[in-house]
Amino acid sequence: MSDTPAYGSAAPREPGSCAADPAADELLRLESYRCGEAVVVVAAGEIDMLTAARMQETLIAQLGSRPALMVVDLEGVGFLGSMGLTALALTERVAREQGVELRVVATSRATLRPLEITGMAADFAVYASRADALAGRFGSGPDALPAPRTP
Amino acid sequence: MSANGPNELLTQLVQSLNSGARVDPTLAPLICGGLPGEPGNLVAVRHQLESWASTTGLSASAVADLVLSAYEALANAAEHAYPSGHGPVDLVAARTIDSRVLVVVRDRGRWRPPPADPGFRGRGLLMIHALAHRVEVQQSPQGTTVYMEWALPAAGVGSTTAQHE
Repeated sequence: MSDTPAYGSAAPREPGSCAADPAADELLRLESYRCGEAVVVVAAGEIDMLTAARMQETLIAQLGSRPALMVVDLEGVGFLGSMGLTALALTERVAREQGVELRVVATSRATLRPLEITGMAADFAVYASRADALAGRFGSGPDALPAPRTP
Repeated sequence: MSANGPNELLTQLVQSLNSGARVDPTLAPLICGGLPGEPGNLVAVRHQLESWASTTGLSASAVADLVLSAYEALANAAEHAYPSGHGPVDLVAARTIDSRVLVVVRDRGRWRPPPADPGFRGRGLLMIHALAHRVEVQQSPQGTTVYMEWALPAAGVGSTTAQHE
């Protein structure tokens, strides 16, 4: 180990360095808003070890307001690791227990591929846009076909 | 007692290559050795690997698959191997003269058995196997090494032909 460069967490971030400590807040931005009976959580950035827990906290907290529908919009997500999938799976379970319908917006390969190869795309209602998810149209997955809740 | 620095890992990588293939001398390998497997460090390695992989000639989707696979391997190594905390992990990535791109991730701990509930660790390995063209996991008392391999498009380096789709 003596010939190994030291990688402290306090090391400054610089190009060409393996070590850095990018701010988790910058890595993933989360915004939530209410839209009729629905709550919409918009995620933008990267979902990984550093940020998945924060997303999960946000999603579970939003379920606490007992909306009829929760839309998780991943359109702006460029990286989705297994920790993010686990957060979504836990959210789906809590939503089901609370009787909240969960719909996921995933449009890019970065989000669709992880959902598909793990079989999780079949566990969620997946939509190609936030508008479609809110209206409950053109989705795929188990809960995609019910009549829209919002006009 | 063997040295365990990143250069030794590169040597190990070269020895693991099939049919005498060697590291392509025209593209410097990416070597990240001995870094603490903390989430902030792993993000930085992921970003660096993405930049590096983009120069290999792999298609954009293959680069995305490689980055996701390597990150899952790093996350496993960082969290799974060290029950008491984030231990050191090594990553080496190289292009070979016979048009393959290899990523090797190594830890020096023992992987704990998967939890009964298939959490992200189980999913991580599942994803690696689904995303990489070839995967090999070697476990020993000294640690676990994950080899992942992607073939470059047949047209050769620089082609943008999508692979594996």
